Amino acid sequence: MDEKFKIVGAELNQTVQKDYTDIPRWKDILYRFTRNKGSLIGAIAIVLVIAFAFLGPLLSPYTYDAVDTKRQNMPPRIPVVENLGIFDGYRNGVDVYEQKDCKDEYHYFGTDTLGRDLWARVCYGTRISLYIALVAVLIDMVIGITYGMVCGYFGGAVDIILQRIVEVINGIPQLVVVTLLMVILKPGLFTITLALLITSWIGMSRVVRAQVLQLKEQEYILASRTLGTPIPVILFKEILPNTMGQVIILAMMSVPSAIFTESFLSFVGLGIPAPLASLGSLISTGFDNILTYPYQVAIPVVIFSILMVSFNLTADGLRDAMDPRMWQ
Amino acid sequence: MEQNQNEILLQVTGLKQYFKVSGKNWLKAVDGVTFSIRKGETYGLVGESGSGKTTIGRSLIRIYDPTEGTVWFNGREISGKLNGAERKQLTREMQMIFQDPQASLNPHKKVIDIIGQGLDNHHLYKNKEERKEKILAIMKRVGLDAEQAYRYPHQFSGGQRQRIGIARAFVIHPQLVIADEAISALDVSVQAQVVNLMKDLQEELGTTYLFIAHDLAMVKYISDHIGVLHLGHLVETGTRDEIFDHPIHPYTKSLLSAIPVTDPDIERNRVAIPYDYVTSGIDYSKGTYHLSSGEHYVLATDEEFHRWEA
Repeated sequence: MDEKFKIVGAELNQTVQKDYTDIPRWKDILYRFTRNKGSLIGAIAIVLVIAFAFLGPLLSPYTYDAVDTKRQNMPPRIPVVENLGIFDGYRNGVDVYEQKDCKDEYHYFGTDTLGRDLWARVCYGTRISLYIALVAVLIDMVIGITYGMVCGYFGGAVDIILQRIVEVINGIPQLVVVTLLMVILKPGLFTITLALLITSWIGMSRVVRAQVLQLKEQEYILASRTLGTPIPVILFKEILPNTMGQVIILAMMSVPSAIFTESFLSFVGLGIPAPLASLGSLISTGFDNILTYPYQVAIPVVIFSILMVSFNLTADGLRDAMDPRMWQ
Repeated sequence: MEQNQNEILLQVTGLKQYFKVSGKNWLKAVDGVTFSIRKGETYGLVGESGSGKTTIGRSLIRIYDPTEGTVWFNGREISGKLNGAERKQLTREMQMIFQDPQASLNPHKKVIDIIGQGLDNHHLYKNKEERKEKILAIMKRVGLDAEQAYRYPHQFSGGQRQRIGIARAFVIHPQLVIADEAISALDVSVQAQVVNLMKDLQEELGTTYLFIAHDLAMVKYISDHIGVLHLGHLVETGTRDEIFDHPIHPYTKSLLSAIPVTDPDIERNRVAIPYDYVTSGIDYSKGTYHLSSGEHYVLATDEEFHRWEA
């Protein structure tokens, strides 16, 4: 034993492998987020879609609501790209633009059955869908989280009363709520926002409540209480960050469902009134012509899918970036 | 017996903590416990799991509101209804170290902010530099490196995490620290380090401990007074020597007989005395505290007391 092992000296000072300095938390999160390729791509794609929605109309002379019966169902035609044999204005080997005698015009995404320019319509539709997504996330984040946290943390009578209210709200079908709203309000964005405000936060509040019920018994919450931490600080600084993983994912899930709720409402005539369009309503009207004019449904679907995938990638990355245990 | 001159910091009288299970069923977690702790001393609370040790600690620091009984702390009663200021004062003077070092630290907060929480709540600094200074000082005192201040709890070992927990309790210089099984989750070598650290801090700052544990050897090592808890009743309390040298209550005797001895010759012949509350015919609720000697009290009826004493 003695021959095999020799003490060559004991180093008592711990070696610090990494220099941990006082970086603000948001910088930490930003750093982790940008290191994740998937989420970075997602974030960039979202920015591009937003840019498209707001800058797109500037690139085209057409408006979203100008009906031109002479130019119905024109196929897409984009300058430069047309030379590659795609988006060249041909359908079944016929140059539709030449046929209709407008060789110098470009409908980037073609036109719909009423001759309205689809590029402009998709731009405006994306705007509306983005707005719906934003509203849905905000409602989830503000009302859903607060409601869930109050229920979960205080429990007892407060919880019982608030949960019964949720059950009543949840018991009324959304369609009925919207129809009743229509009695007093005109169809439009505000009405849809109001409809989402009434019902869409319930799922989030339930998840947050369940999380808080579990987290509030954790010893670090008890420790905070024994340190005399005020309740709002415990709720928002101790409990909330620990629910963020679930909250972010759920908020992302609520985006597509909100967008489709909107398109469903438009479909039954309670949503965005024509000639305004949303991605959802563009998809549902384009779907009628899917066999003859597939581009009318394909283009909004592609934009919608890009939006969904990049939202999900971003949410995933954000969740990982916000959890210190995932950092290595 | 110099320590007897010390004034009493915490006086618990007839503390009861019941929990409603369902309808009219109540769980009597703590059922009429009386003891006192002197300033600068360590009071060891031992008992099997489920005996109410942790509940007592939590009732004292008001995580739970006591059902009945009075608690006097530092000349004030803290068992009744407390207003905001009183509660705040209590959290300033009484602190707790938790059992599970992993679960007692928020995984989303940096160590510096975990430790600084007490300072933040009680506004114990003038500016950010002073806050940092105070936190780094206590970190150094408990054996943590200043570079570790900006790390997250999962980057530490179990022993280091418990040091963070100790630093968090001590940074506001409380008078009473409740160590709720503070070392049970650590491995044996680290247990010794942490207990010695706690002893050193006590000598340095004159802190009083309520040391809750089920490890009798550790309790014997650290405590001045000991209370033996069983099924929510404090069956016997006294100084360490009174309890270990002259146990009177059969439950205490049974507990002490279960401690392994390091000498193999003695250990081989050691017989653990069995104790079963149900068949023993003892009814804790009928017993009253009987003074045996000094500060040695036993929970018994008169008849039981004379039988056990003999």
